[in-house]
Amino acid sequence: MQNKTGEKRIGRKVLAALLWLAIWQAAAVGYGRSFVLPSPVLTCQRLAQLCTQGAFWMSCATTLLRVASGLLLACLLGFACAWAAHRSGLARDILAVPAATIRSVPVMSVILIALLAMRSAAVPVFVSFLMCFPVMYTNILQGFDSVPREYRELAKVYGIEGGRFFGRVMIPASMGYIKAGLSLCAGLSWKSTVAAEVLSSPRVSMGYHLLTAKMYVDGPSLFAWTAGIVLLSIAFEKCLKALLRRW
Amino acid sequence: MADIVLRGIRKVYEERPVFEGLDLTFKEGKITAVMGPSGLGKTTLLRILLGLEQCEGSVSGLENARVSAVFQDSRLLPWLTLRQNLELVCTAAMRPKDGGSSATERRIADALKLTELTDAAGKKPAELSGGMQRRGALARALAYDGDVFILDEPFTGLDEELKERVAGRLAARWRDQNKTVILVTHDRAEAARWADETIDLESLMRKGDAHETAL
Repeated sequence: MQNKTGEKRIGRKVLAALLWLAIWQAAAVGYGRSFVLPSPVLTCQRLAQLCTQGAFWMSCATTLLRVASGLLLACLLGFACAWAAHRSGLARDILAVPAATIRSVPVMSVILIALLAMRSAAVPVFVSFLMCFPVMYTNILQGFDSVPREYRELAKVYGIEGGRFFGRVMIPASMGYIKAGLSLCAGLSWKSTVAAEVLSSPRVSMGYHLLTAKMYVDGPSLFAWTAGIVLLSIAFEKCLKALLRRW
Repeated sequence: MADIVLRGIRKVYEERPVFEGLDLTFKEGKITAVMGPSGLGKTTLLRILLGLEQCEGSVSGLENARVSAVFQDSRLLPWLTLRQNLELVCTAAMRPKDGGSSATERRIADALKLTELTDAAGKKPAELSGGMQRRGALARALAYDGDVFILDEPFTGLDEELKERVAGRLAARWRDQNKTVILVTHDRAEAARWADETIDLESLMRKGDAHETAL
């Protein structure tokens, strides 16, 4: 019974995807200018071509590394700041200002300001970090704040302190919030990293190739690189979720 | 170790006085049962002894003591197995007399055996029944090897036969090792069976003296 429901659901999803591909194909044929709106077939062909080139994989790997670095930095600093804010009301008040400010600053402003201050290859990592940090900080802090009093009392009575209390009690008890934050940041870090790569244009990056394709009005390449980014982003999020499921 | 002495304990909860100048002594090396009806403040008394509640008055005799506790709820950490729950408290505050990791392993194995949980050591709390969780909390207190045991209804949820076996074994062990045990219970028979002394908290708060020696 469950298998049949599962099959039905997969079938519906495939049908929905086919419907949207058909709409895209019809729009491309109707529009008639493939350099602006290429068909899905043309996009797939171009993506397949790119996959045979070493430069494509190098760009993917470099962008992936930037995304992961930004996210990792946001997590590490998020943990440190959330711990400080959880322990001290003063630290909480001080950190509330940048967390709220960064959250509402447009990503383009951050990229342009970063471009003034650092070399182009570092900008995407910094931007990804800065966009993810408030999300991670807020979620981790919420997680720490919601750790049940019973567990704290247990730790106090049995002398579970310092790193052991942090690693064996606080983090596992906050894991729901941490996972939600990481899930949000997985998509956010890709969007902000690629946007920063487009504006800062480091040679080896997916964003640089997006910009080049746009400059040469090469619609199929632009769509193929975008498809590559979307697929990598989905794979990244799935891997992250699989990793988190183990905890 | 010394007697645990409470003097002039005054505790107010939401403008309602729980204790008004309570004086109480728990004798060193004895098992003392604290009895009384629900809502009288038995758990509050234990929380004061554990340093989890602020109050007026003084508590002495626990300054340098290592305290094992069983709370009213089991409080086993759900992301750890039963064995890991025990390991966590054993390795958290190691004393020189605790020995190395093999000594800790022996204490954990012994605690699990005394509470009849050896086969459940690898299970997470969610996989254990209510009674097993209760025994798990007892095993954790045993493995921690406190000088003083503060236990809030530790045998609740255990069937009579199992309670008889486990409580009998633990009482013998505590007497053998000269531990000071403070045990909150509703069950008069339980108190009479295993405690050296019984304190009727209701009478004590009414008359000012309610110590009686158990059989």
